[in-house]
Amino acid sequence: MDKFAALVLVILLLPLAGAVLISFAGPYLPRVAAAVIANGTLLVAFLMTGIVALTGWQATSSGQTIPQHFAYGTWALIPPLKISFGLLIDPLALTWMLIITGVGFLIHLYSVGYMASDRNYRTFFAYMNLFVFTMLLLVMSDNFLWLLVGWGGVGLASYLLIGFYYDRVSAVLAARKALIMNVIGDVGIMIAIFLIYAHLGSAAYSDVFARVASVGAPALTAIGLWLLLGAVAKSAQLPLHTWLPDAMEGPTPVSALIHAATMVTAGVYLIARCYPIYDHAPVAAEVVAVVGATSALFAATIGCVQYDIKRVLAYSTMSQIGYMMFAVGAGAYTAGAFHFLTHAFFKALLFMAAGIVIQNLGGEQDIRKMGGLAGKMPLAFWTFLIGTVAIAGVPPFAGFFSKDAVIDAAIALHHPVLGAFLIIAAFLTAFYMFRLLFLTFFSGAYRGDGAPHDHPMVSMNVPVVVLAILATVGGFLAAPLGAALRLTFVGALHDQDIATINWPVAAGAFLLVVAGIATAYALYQVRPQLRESLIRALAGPRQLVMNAYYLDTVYHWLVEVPAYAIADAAAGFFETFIIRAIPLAASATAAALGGFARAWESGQLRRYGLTIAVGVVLLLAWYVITAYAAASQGVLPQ
Amino acid sequence: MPQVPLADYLILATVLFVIGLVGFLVRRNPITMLMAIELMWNAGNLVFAAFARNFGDMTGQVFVFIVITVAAAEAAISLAIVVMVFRHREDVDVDDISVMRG
Amino acid sequence: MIQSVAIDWNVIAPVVVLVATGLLVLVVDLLSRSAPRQLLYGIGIVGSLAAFAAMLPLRGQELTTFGGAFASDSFSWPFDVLLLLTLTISLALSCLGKAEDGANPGAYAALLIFCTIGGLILAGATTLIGIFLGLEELSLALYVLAGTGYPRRSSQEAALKYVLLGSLASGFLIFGMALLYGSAGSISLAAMSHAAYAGGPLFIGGFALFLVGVAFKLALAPFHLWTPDVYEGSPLAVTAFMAVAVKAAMFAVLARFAYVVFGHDASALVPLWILAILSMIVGNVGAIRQTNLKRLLAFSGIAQAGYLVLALAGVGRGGVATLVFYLAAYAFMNLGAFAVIALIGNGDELHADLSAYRGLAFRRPMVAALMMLFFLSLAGIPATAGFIGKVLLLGQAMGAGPWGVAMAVALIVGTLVSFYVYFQVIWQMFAPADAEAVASDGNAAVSWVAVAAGAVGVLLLGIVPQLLLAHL
Repeated sequence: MDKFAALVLVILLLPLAGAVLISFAGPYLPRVAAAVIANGTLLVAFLMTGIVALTGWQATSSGQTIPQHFAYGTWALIPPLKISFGLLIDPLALTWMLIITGVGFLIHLYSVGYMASDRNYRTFFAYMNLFVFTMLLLVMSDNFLWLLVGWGGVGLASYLLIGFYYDRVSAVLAARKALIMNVIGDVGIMIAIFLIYAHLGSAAYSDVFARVASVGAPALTAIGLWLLLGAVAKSAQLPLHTWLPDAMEGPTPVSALIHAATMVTAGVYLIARCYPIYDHAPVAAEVVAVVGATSALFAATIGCVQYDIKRVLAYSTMSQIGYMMFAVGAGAYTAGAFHFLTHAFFKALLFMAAGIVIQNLGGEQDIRKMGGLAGKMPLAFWTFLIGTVAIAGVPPFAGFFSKDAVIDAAIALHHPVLGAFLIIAAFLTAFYMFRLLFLTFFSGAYRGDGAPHDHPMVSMNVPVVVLAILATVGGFLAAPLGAALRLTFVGALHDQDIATINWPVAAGAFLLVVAGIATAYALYQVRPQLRESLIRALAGPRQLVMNAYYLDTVYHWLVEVPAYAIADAAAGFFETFIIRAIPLAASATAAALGGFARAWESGQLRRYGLTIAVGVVLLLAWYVITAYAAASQGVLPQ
Repeated sequence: MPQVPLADYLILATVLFVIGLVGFLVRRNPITMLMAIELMWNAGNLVFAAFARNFGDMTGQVFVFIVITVAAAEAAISLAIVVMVFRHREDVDVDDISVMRG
Repeated sequence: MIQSVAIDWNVIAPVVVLVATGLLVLVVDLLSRSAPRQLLYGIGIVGSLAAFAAMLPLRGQELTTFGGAFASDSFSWPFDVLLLLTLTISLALSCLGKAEDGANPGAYAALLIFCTIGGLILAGATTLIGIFLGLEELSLALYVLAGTGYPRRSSQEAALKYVLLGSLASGFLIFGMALLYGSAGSISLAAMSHAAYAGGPLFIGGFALFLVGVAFKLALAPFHLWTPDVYEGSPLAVTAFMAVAVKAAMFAVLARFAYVVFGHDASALVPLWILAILSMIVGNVGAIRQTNLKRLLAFSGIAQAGYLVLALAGVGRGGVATLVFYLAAYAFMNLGAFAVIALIGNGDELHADLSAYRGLAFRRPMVAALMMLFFLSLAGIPATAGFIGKVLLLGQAMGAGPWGVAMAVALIVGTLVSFYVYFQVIWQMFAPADAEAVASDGNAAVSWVAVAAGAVGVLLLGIVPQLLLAHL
């Protein structure tokens, strides 16, 4: 193993080592040690990732090629199945790795302060490190099987962290919901892997993507759609998105790291990673694009009427991931990855700034009970403002460039309807984000009953400021990112250049953004009466949107109620006479067999001897009978 | 000297073996049971010896010696165990030795 | 004419080292009656490690000695390692304060060592004489060891049951061997393959009785009835040794026999498949509602023996690798579980009772976590050695015709039943503790070493199976 391969492996294993160390040494560790281990492993992992990325960048710009694929040997050889363990560190993986370790480190640092008074402090860091490890495994793996391990692992970590406040019933229910939705996706990925193995004879990316052209479109479409099921569940896209708003039950750093910056973008990564499959399966790719654009618009409308600060951000996450999904579905993989990058900056920033507000208000999350906080919490306000203008798409902040790249791609690749969805969503994004900003920080005086106070905490403020800077200037990463990702998306059919801006489109989109901000300003700052009459006039539709289009209710009626109804109806007859009878019979058989085995095990030696003797007789009888049968089939013995 | 046919040895050995087995199954005194087992082992010895003679091969005879040696060790150990059990009880009836069951 | 047989001492070096160790232990015990027993067991452990060192140069070599009657080859090597590992861990667990050794540590340690020698002979035996001698050496020493807890009535009972039934089974074995000898005209396994090819009542009858003897030692149903009683009655460290070492040695014999004799046609092995299926049923079902962990692990061992037979299905298709892998997994998870029992009670027998585990997860979270690991592995949950082992076994069986498929189905159904058994134990550890729960505060370093060895083995084989598979 050369030095580079070892370095890459260490990046992957460091967070795992941290998780294991904190878990096992937990009770004996001082709290500060747990924090130091968790933060230290991530910081080192981030620096090492940076070294890898820079080395790659230098080598590439000087015209050399450096290895991207590192094989560490065979993990299991169960003929004919050979599972090797290897890592694929290409620009696409590196983009995700830098965010996972970099933003991950900042959020860990933030958690040192945010979670300071929690009694399960060490557990929290152990879970967070476990999450980072599994997420790294997901993006670093060189084959689908280890991707699946990481995929399941992030689901587990997400489950553990959503339900972190396990004494709150709502948190436990939310964790369960997230797990169930995600498992639906996991099954989708599993089926996709089975299909891949059946059609392409391997699960390693290099083999699979090299053989894609030899497989027919129907098979690839099936694979692409099953993969999409996994992506939709993990990335909270329509129709499996309902777990994400509920997932806000987790601590705010969790929402920032897992449910905004990294895990929920795993679906985008998956589709970008599988670009050769989607390039050869246009139908599946089109479905991805439709799901993405629809989710973007759908979530944006809901974001306009929510009152929980974290739920607004959750719907905005879903909406922004919709943009990324659309981009990778349309074939503009680089644009999708770019939007992932900037989104990680500004959405983590928004969550962490919101976290400061929530903590300073003693856990209050309802924006109706906020207001007028701009002067009381200047740091939170200014950073939240930067995040808001970045997500809304105000130049020169990061979101402007990446969102514009996605919309440009929609136009260049001829998706007029979906492009319109995205443009409307951009208007709505500007509106609901500024609505959130105004309701939280302005719109008159403070409306809550607590006493807002600012507890400046260095460990929380530093990461927020760093992310605010990144959210400001992140857009200028377009050129280097585009150049790097060109190495990954070799031969992609529709990939778009993200560094050039289509100015007429950008100007039009910006006007819409301004309109959105102006609307929010008018409704929430200038004319609150107008808002009242609007609410009255649109009471019906508003109700619909506020309840997230009743999708939870629809699922309740479509899935739960029929399931229970069938169960209830069946309970009368089926349950008693068939469903219950089978396990009853099985358990009765087992119990009877067990009872018989135990009774036969009488403790009496002669019984044991007799059993042996009977066994011998039966054994001999078997041989005699089979010998006789064989003889009677062949020549009869004389 | 008339040759005894091989089959007769085998039949005799089988009869001895079955007598030993039945003895093991019907007696309740461990010492008697051990004797029955010895009978079974020796039935095996007889088969070995008979084949060895039939083949004119020494291996079977050697096997018999080894079995006899092991049988001596086995008898010593099993008698020691029976004595150990005797010391803690009035008499030894294997049917009563069933603390553990189920 | 008497031929002189050249003896290659290198080949039997591990055996010689162990013999010397056993004698040394006896002499030390004789010379100083006041020697602490830890010293004697320590000598035994050192001897066991020395024997392992003596085995290292033999790795990968195909050697025979005693005129081909004893082999040290790539087949026997892994079984020998497992035997020495088991000896080491059993001796380590015997060092604990409350461990039973019949107040005669010298004899106890020597017997454990002689048992292991029997196992080594079994693994390398290529003739019926070697198999018989190895088996009897193993068994005779174990009969005595089963009774070393003799102030306890259950230990006496275990010894008596074991010696009577074991000798009975040996009777079948000897008679069977005699018939096999008669059918082949030789006692070497190689010669027997010709007899197997020809078939004939002598060979078939002989093999059937031979199989009974082997199945008895392996605790395959219906020859298993002694197992729970003997496991329950024997001292803890002896039970651990029995559970692992005897199975390893006997599977070495069975596998060698199957490969050498039935390499061309395994149809005569069908009754073995039936015994395996029966064992999976009896073992898993019998384990339900057991309240003594040693007894529960005995039934579990019956089922696991049934699983192991799957490795022999479709003889000649890489089955030995599967067999060794699952045996290694079985060794780690069982030794680990026994080591946990010994750990928390400092070697006493009270902690074989399931009720001692109520609430353990709250009193000793680390110990409970490790115990859970071992039981998850027994159940075959992913990321543990038991899971990979079962996958390998299923792969082996699925390609082996209808009987292979039948065994695979039995394995899956048996595993489902066993979930109930194993999760019951795990559940107990998380249940609220009784007021009169026995103290579980043993913490001896030596038992921690044993537990850690088991845990590392279970996890390594479960997460990186290629570590072992690459060498098989």
